[in-house]
Amino acid sequence: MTPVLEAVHLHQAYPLPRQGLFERRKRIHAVRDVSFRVEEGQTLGIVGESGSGKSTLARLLVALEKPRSGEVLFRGEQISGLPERSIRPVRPLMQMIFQDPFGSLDPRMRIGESIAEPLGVAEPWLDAGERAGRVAAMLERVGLQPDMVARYPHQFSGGQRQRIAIARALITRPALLVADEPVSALDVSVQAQILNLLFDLKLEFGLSMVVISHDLAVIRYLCDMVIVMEGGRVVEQATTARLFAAPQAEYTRALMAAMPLLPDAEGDPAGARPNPGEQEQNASVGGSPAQLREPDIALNAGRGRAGPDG
Amino acid sequence: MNPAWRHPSFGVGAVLMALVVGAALLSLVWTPHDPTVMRIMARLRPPSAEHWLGTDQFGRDIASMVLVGARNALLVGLVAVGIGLVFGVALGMLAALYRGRLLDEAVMRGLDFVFAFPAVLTAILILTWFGPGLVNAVIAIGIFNIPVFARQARGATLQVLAQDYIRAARLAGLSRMAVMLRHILPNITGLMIVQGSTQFAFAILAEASLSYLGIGTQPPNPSWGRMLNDAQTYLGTAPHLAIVPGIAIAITVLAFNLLGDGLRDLLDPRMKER
Repeated sequence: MTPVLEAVHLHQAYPLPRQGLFERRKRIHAVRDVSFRVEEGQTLGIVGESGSGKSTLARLLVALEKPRSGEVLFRGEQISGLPERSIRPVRPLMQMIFQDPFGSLDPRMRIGESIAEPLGVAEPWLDAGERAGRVAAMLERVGLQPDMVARYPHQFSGGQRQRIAIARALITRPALLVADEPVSALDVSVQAQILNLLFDLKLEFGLSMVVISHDLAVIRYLCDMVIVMEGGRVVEQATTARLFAAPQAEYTRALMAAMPLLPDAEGDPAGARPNPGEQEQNASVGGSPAQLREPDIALNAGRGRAGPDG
Repeated sequence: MNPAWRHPSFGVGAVLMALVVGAALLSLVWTPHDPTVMRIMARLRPPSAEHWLGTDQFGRDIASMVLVGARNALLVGLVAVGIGLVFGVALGMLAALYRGRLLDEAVMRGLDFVFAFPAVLTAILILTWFGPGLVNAVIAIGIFNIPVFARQARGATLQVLAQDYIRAARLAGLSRMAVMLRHILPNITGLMIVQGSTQFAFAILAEASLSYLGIGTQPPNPSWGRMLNDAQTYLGTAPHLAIVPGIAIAITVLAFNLLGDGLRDLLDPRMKER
């Protein structure tokens, strides 16, 4: 089967300002030779420190930027390096949510309008009533009241705005959702709610996802596969379970060691979410890093226990 | 009460503006005296019952001249700023959209060229070409306004373009044009309005200079700017000649600035009650 998304030797570089009139122009290589596939329904995590090229990669994947070299294939068709006009028909099928929910909604647009905007392009034949119905249903689905459509973004909290951004991203029923640091700008108490929402929506919509984060707990909760990036390069690529059980690259281990250890979670939100693709490996986890890191992933609390039986 | 009136700057600005517009409209139907009639015997009179604001060096009634002058001031201000705003914002947004590319450079360097000329000199050039008169003066001043708005608009657009909601709009499949009109324009409007209210003052003063040089508003058609310039000679003996049009200009400029500030706030949904 063709993968939903495929990156083939992606490379992106930006010119740095000239140091002097006769100096050669230097470039910063943000993404170097990155290749991977995301199969239908799969979630791929991309993890790395800030500056490791994750966000650039995200923009390349949804064709907001053109790569210097390499290709992005969406359902087997090349979408990289094309003029905007040719990409437009595919746009509704691949959406993105951004890190900063304060910047991703137009402050001058009522949120109902914001959410309906992609719909107006993707399904222009809908009349005002149908569109409003879709928006209301979507708002409800992400946990907001449908009568909030007439409000402006500044009237919402960060978590609510991220819900609005998710509603907007999913209103066209995309096949692929790229989430660039979806919770890192949010309060810790809200992070779990948004992650749960993403997890539910992923199953409900049959979404394939690419989740970008510096937070291994987020990756571990949402993703089936993980890519670890450092300095624009992929240093490790593995299934989530394998990565957490036996990290290969030095850098991955350093990242894991840097994760804070939190006291065991009391408010286990929404309980355990056995991630189907991962259960088998958990049997062998034992005293591995994954087990050590258990406490900081309140979300996964049940999984380690359920694993061996499942 | 409409919340708009409760905004202090907007309220005061609106009242002052009503005053100026009222004066301009009134002058269409009535003035205390004919503002063009000269009476040498009654020159440089201080304010009196007959001449509320006195008379000028030719014995013309200043109150009447100020009323008629309001018409010209509003015309010059609105049209000149309008020209600058429309073309400037369009060019500025275009340049920002093609940032760093040839079009950006061409547009901005071309506008720098216009900007580098002293405003009045440019106007003189245009007016010698097309002939003197109020309409041409307004166009000349408007042209000089274009680079000012273009620079502001370019900067503001670049700032908006860097926002995630612009990326989100592109992801939604909006065309470049739709992104401009739906997202960029509304988000730079506030800034442009404030700039516009500042440029209005500049426009009135530029018209004054041009009228002084004899290529703006043609005498005997009164202009606040020319009144002010003519008054220089009599500052010691008849200061009211300068004070009256000076106050008229100050009130109008203030009205525009306050209205501009008020509009900026009122157009921003964030300023509405939470």
